[in-house]
Amino acid sequence: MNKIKIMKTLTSVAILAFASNSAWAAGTAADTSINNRATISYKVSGADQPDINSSPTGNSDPSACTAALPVDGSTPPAAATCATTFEVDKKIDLTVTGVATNVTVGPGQASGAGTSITYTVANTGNSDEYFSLTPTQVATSSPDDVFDTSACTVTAPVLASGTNYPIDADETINVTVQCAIPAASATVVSGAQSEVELLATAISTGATGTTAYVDSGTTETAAGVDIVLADGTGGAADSGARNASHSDTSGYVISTAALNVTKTSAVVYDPINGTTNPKRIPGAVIRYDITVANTGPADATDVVITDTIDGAVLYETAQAPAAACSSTAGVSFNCSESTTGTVTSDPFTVPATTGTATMTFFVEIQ
Amino acid sequence: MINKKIKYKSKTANTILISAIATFVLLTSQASAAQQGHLKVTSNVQKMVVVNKDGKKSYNFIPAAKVLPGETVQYNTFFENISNKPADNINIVNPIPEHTVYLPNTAHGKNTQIVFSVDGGKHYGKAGTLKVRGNDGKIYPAKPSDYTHIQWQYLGNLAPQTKQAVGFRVRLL
Repeated sequence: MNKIKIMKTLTSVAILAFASNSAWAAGTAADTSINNRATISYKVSGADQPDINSSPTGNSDPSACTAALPVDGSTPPAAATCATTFEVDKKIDLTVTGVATNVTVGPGQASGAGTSITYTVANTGNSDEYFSLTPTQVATSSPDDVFDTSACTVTAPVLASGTNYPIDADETINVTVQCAIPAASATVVSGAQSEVELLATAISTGATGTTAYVDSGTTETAAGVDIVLADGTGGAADSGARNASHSDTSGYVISTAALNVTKTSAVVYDPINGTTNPKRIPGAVIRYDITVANTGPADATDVVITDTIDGAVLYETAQAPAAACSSTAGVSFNCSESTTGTVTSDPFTVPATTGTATMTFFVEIQ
Repeated sequence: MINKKIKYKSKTANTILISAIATFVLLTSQASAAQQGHLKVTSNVQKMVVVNKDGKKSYNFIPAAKVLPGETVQYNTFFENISNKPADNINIVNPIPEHTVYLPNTAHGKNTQIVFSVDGGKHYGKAGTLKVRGNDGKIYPAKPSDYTHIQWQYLGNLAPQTKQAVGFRVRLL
């Protein structure tokens, strides 16, 4: 008794070994064996007795049940260790999240890098699994979904047809989907949106096949690994919670061409100074550059530049360093003084995203 | 160190073994290959599930067959004196199983003093007295999740043919 009471004042300092109990957020891996065994020491008539280890059915033999318990999660040899053991079951859980919604696209834009929408798929279960990844156009009509894309495919990760993608326990992957955007129409207008849903399903057959995991339900296998589905309810493509599937949407918004026009001028010649330090005096030649830039996702077609040149006429003689009117950067097109005092280009197309076209012309100050 | 007194005397195990065998031969006439100690020790594990009955929360214990991360299991250890002599100085040591953490205030046992170890069973102290050194080198009070071993020190004698139990709960990581 006295010995035990002294223990009250005993304190201990230990170096923390964090590694031993470090665990995934998703928890202990499925199929891990959790082992336990108690050891008892005692005296009889004042004499120390050999320690006895516990067993699930009861042990009184000091020489039995002495083998070391495995610490790697493997199943211990029952006869030698007498461990009281259970197996960790398989929890199937996953979350799909649409990352960049409302990716800007243009009408008629072909499926490609410009139509990439992204999702994350997180395996929050406690086992490495294979997942099927299926994009579908959201059918329901809502302000977030007024037109339908087509030919949506998963482009990253790259997967052979009919195969499923491996995601480790606690791992999150990025998934890229690309769709074809329909041509401009009454609904495919600037600001119109479309939603695409990605459905991920944990597949029980692994890399190939389409059979989703099924919950073990009330069936319990003490010696084996049971399946417990723990996923929540995703979007319309997900039929509900606890079905080994989850989904979320990402989507597009239509933006037409966005044009930016700049005009600069420079004097290149005057009758007194020639081309050396020319001044803007009557008879001088002025160079104008009108640049049209398209920062939108759609090509700008039938673009026409018209400029009225008050108090000046298009300089027709070859005094200037270039033709009187020309396209000098990006897109090539023709231009002329269609009526006196007005310079006009032929219709031309400025490509999407970063396309530019520049009309350069020279006028003489009257 | 004081705690030496409560550790099992493994160094003298050889001589004790002989005495145990001698006792066994005297006590029983049945031919058995197994050696017989004075105590029979049984350990089991149960899963703890919350039951809602008539709006009241209660707990049920079921065999630990289907256990998922985050769930609670209870370990029970029964020790029975199967000899005809009282046993004393009984200590039960149970390491906290791998992949689990001890849940505070769940170690229990009638007529026992319960102490814990945070250093793999080298030293023991009562809950609240233990300290650990963090990765930053500073010393902090130990948390229940730092415990590595539990020891129950049974107070008094365990009479022949009587049985007692201790237990504790852990959460599966």
